[in-house]
Amino acid sequence: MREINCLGMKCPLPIIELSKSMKQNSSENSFLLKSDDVATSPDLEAWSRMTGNSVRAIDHENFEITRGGATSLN
Amino acid sequence: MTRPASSLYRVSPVTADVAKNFQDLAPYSLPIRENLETFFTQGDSDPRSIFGPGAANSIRLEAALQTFSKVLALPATSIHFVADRSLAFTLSILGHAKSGEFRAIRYSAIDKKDAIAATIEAKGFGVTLNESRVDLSGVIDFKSAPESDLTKSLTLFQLRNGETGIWQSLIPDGPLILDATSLNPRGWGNTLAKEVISQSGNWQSAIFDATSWGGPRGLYILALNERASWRNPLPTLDPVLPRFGASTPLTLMSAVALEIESAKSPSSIDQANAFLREQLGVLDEIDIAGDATGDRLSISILNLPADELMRRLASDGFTVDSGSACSASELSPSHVLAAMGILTHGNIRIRLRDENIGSVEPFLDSLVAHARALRSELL
Repeated sequence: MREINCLGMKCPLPIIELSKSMKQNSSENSFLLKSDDVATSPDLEAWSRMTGNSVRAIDHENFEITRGGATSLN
Repeated sequence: MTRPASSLYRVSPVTADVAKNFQDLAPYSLPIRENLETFFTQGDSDPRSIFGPGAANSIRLEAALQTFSKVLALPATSIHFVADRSLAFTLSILGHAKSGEFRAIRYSAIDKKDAIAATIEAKGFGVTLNESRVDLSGVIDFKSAPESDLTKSLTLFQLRNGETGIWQSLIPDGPLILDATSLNPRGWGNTLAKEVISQSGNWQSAIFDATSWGGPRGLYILALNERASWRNPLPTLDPVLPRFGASTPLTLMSAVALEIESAKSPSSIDQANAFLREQLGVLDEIDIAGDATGDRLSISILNLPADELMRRLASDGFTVDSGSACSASELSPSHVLAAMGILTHGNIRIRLRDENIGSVEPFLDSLVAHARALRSELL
């Protein structure tokens, strides 16, 4: 699982860094996004709907991203 | 007998001097500015003055009252002028809560923050609060709140969301406080609000905001239904109803703006709205809230910083608002977009005033070009 550390970054950088990393690492399926920005959780929900990738909230700062699949943020 | 309002207001045709400003609060149009100057030079030099003495003021204020009553379909006796939006919500919500008639207040996750704040404050009067969820299309699901006796529940009903322009089409059961602060009276004759006010006995109070029809900030209309139970929640020596700080010039200016706006046709901005929504489909991964009606659009574009997009649009002469945390004065994202599940970053909000398809085309070209360029730089 590739880690994307966005702690301390403000919106929209965590989502942009995630999109960039997924584009640059096209052979990888799982990513761990670390972000403490309050906008990340609602934006990941919208991002998942728009891109078709799944998100699972591990806790309020760690999000597991999988290409495709089902989203579970709550 | 009341004289026709327009003879007192010196109304003249609107000019297109706000054509490139798509912000919620834009500079006033020329006839409104001209009238405000008149009001000040005729004796109201202090904008804070509250219903100053003198026959001339009384006549002008009576004319303004008749304008509000006629256009908004409200009995003149129900209308009160308030200087501040938070105060208007506080008076309305706490005034009904204080009456002791209601055991619960229902509100939605997309209500205005000051309305939610006043609702939470109403707990001090012993009412319970029920928050309703909202879906991706912005429809409030009042059934999502905990069950309660509807005859004893007061519902804060936001007819139209000011950020997204989304209308609620279903009138909830039970007594209502109508949040009409985002209504544009253009095409007002067919709106749900007018229907609710003129035909339903269920409305307890209604709140209007003059900025929704191009008037000034600082003038709110609080209408209290004569059949409603309401108690003034503020400490006051006035046994009936005190005045709430509204300035005379701003009240008159608001009436002028309402006359001008309500006389316009809604068709050209509806067409411009639909055109923008359709054409923005050339950008992928984009959320546009609501349906293609009215004067507002909320557009969220994935992987874009709204502040930089706004700067680039401004360099082309277009000013817009944003609900994104990275661009607004607040550091938290829009609670409305978050509640709906719409992307909160890369968001711009635009308000159409006198636009048509032709006049929004340059803005569309600028937006698409900058969005594409920014994305290619960032990803």
